[in-house]
Amino acid sequence: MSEELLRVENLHADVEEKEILKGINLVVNKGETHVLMGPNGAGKSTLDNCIMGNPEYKVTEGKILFGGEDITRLKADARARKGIFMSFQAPQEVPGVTMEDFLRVCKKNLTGENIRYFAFHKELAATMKALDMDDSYASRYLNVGFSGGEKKKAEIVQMLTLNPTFAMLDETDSGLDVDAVRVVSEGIRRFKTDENSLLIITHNTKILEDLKVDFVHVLYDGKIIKTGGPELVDYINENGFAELIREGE
Amino acid sequence: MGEQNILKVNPLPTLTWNHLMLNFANLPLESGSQVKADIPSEFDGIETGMGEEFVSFVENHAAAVRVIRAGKGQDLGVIRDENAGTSSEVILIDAGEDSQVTFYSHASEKACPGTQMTRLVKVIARAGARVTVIQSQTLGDDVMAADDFGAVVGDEARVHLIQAELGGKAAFAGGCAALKGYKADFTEETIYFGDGSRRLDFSYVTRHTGKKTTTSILASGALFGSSDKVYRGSMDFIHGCSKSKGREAENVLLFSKEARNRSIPLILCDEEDVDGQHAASIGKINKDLMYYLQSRGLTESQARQLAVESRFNPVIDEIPDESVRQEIHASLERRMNLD
Ligand SMILES: Nc1ncnc2c1ncn2[C@@H]1O[C@H](COP(=O)(O)OP(=O)(O)O)[C@@H](O)[C@H]1O
Ligand SMILES: [Mg+2]
Repeated sequence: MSEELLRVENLHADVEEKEILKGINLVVNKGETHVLMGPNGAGKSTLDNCIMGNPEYKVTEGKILFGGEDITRLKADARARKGIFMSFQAPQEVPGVTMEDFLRVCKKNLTGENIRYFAFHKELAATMKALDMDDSYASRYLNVGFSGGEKKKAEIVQMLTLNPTFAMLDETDSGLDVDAVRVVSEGIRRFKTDENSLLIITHNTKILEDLKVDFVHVLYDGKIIKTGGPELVDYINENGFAELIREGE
Repeated sequence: MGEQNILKVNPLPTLTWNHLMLNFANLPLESGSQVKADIPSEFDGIETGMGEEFVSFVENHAAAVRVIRAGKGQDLGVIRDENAGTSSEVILIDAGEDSQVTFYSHASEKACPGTQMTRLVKVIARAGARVTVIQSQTLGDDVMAADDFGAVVGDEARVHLIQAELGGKAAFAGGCAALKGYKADFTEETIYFGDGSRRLDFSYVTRHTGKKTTTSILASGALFGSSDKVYRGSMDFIHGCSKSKGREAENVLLFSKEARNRSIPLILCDEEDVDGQHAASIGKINKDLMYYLQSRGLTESQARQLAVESRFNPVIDEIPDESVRQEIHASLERRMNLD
């Protein structure tokens, strides 16, 4: 029997007093890859943010368990220390702090271990190289002046460096060209082990090509209206969401 | 112990009714023994940001005077201030045509035994010269600090001033550049940090007389506790300085309801063909940035510290001394954890 990592129970959440999530149930076990699809505005990013602990999103009902522990009221940094990671749809720029310094501080903070400067530098350069990202970006201020695609790659560099047990990727592939999607997909595949899990929000099958997808969920109007296997991705690609939405109603 | 003097410093270039209380600041300084500094006459009359009363006080009580001369075309490299932290010092830089010099003075808590530290730097940048002056301080909470600067900038000369006011009971700082030459350029960057009940008072003035002169005056700060900051930034476009440009920008992070933040941007214009702009952003750290940083495992106070450092680092990174940069980071870290 597989080990449960994340459990979302009857989750309701508001943004600015408006209910966006209307009772989400989701279980992600250790080692699994889940894909979340749905039309724009369905609440996909909202769900990620609720799991990560964005204070802008108020959970009004239900709960979130991680490794069996109720984390619904924990702050984002405490959740990160438990191993949750989110690749942002719109990453923030952090002027004045280089990507390398930032990641070294975060890694030290997450692991509680001292990070050896040169070993870290080498490892980061290798990670960036694998993502086809020039390692000069490591000494640039994080995300400042990065193109949309570079920002997305930088998010994956962060994921690979911080090595979370549960990673959410929010449209990491949008804004990337075909080659970039391929290297990112390859990076995600290298990250994936039997010990960690993924929740991927995407509109695009390309990013899933190298990955073994276990479950696909369709989110619409704050509810999961359909869950299936990887074949659901192809179905949606061909038919869109309309039919599924009609069935759901 | 010396006598208490109250000096009128950091005057606005024109007195204004709406800023009645802020037309200048009162700086209390103790006068020790009178030592009349021997100031070469070419430095007479150079206007500074803090104003005449301060200049005359420092010049009459100078514990250290240093004159730096760069000959025509000479590159003096980086010169460190060995006396940083003494009660009162005057630095005079005469940069000859096409010469280069960088001067930096860092006063740390350790380096300043007294309760008062005043620094005055005057610069003559002759045609084509490049001069950078850095005044930084991380003084203890019992020290009254004052940093003043004045420059005359010649044809196509460039002067760059950095002031980092990060400690002290109170910190007063000012800078003035007279842009007399064609295409003379002045860049000024201030960073300041207010915690406890620190008072911070600034005044920057650029006098544009040459044609196509350019200036940029930037300030970035963070206010905690019941700190109190007044910032005056004035650009004076004088008749005849056609095609001159000035940019002024201020960035303040407020971390406390008790902190007080006042700014007076002033653009004086006696010439039509110029372009002067002011921009200010005052606020709390962007919530989205805080969340982003916290999602990577940084606690709220670590994220806050990083956000402040991210404002300061581009300026701190310009200090040409690794040990000073580290000392500044350590000081900021200590102060932010105390909060
Ligand atoms: N920070 C926010 N402020 C206001 N409304 C928001 C915010 N985030 C999301 N919403 C609203 O919530 C709904 C769901 O948005 P989102 O979760 O971003 O959808 P998706 O990621 O599925 O496209 C939308 O109607 C959107 O306008
Ligand atoms: Mg979204």
